[in-house]
Amino acid sequence: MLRDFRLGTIISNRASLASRLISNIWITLANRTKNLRLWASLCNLRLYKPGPDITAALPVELQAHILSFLTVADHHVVSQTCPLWRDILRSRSFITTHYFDFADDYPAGLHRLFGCRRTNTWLGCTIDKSGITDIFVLFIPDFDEFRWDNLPVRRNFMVEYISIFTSPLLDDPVLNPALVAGDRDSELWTDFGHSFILQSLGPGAHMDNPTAIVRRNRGLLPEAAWNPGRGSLRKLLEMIGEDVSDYPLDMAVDLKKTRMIVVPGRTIFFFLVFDVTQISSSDLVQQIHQFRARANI
Amino acid sequence: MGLSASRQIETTAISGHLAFPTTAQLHHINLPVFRQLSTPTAVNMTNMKLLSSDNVEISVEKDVAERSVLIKNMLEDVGETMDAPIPIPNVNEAVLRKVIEWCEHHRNDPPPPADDDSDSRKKSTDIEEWDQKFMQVDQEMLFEIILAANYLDIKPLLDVGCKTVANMIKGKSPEEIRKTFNIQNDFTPEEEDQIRRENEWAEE
Repeated sequence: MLRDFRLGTIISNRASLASRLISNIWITLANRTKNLRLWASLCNLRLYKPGPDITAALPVELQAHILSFLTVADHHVVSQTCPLWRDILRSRSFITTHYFDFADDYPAGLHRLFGCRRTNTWLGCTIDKSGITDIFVLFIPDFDEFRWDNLPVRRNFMVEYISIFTSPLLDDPVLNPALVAGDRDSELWTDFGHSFILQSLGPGAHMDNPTAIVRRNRGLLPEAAWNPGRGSLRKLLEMIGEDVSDYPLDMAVDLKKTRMIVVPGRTIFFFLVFDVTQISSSDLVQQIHQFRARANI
Repeated sequence: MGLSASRQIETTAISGHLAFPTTAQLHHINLPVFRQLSTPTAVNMTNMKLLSSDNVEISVEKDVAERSVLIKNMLEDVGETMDAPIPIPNVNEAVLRKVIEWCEHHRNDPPPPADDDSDSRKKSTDIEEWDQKFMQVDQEMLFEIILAANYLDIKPLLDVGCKTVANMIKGKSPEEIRKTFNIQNDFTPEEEDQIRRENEWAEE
């Protein structure tokens, strides 16, 4: 009896007044200590009989399988429940498996792709005079070893290329309408991780260098793309595509130094993470061609 | 009908259990024969035994057991004759019986399309009525069924189980989800704050 002693059983069996009194004391204590979380977890432990914790009861693959049946709207909520589920939802394998193979009626969020903090995720698009002809994502697994100059000799360099041109992901709203303008920069930074395109197009007050694209848009912000809640990544890309389509073919534009390189007339690569400052523009064009040949793009 | 019944008796006789069936036994034997008539393709009605993790032998018809890809492959590897019970070390009796119940109900389901399974699932969380009732168990059992289905490689049952859990998640707030599944909230306050801000806009 004593061994099985749990405050919870007593509380549930005996007078509820006593229980309320005790929990009131606990809450007061919790407020005082300010370490509410600790206290809350203590209270939880004692007041409720612990059932199976799903994150411990099932292996991660099965948890991922369960989460795969949910919509993106649910994913937003689920990612707030615990770090494990957040990490599952942001893992590359989950994203590639569940965000790219979807039925047409399945709403998904491209922003998740950029929220996943992968250092090897690129977004790119090809453009011509008529506009954007393809939008794709590249996953490059062993990015640390990646060098433009050793690309031709690396036979088994694996690149996953996924066209997302027809994806409804691209029409998802990309921005948080709840944020005030001053916050948008940091919001993009956190939400999109390394997605510099959006970051560099932001209207934030502390943008040190408004990009060429913004400038070419007569200084106006790309409102259609930016408009909170209504803009989408597709609109943003279309706007960029339109803007750079008349650049000379061999000209590469290095925006904000390392963050975005535009190869007009052919391909726009958004380097989501790493440093490409070492490459000269003419090299880049050549190497991108090689790269595309190797990646069968 | 009479012919099939006698064939059935013959097989049992050969396997050495029974030479002259009593009326009660005949009655018993008739059941699978009826089923056999309704599905002419299912010929093999032999019984086999499974041994649960708590050492309980459970007799099950072969085609029911073969809903499990694991068992099916095992039988194929071993050959047709399998007298010793197959040990299922990860699944206890209660769960195994539950899984067999599901397999018996779904014994005549058409095989799932062989092509990419992500396509066939279509992200739907619809569950047919019988399965919904079947899954009305406590969470511990639900998780056990999912684990067993995963181990035994019964994809449709795994999906039903996972969909059931997914439906329990749907439409709940993070706090409600934590409560439902006893998840400890081990976000740091900073992380929690950041995540809330990241997700605010999607929830309107």
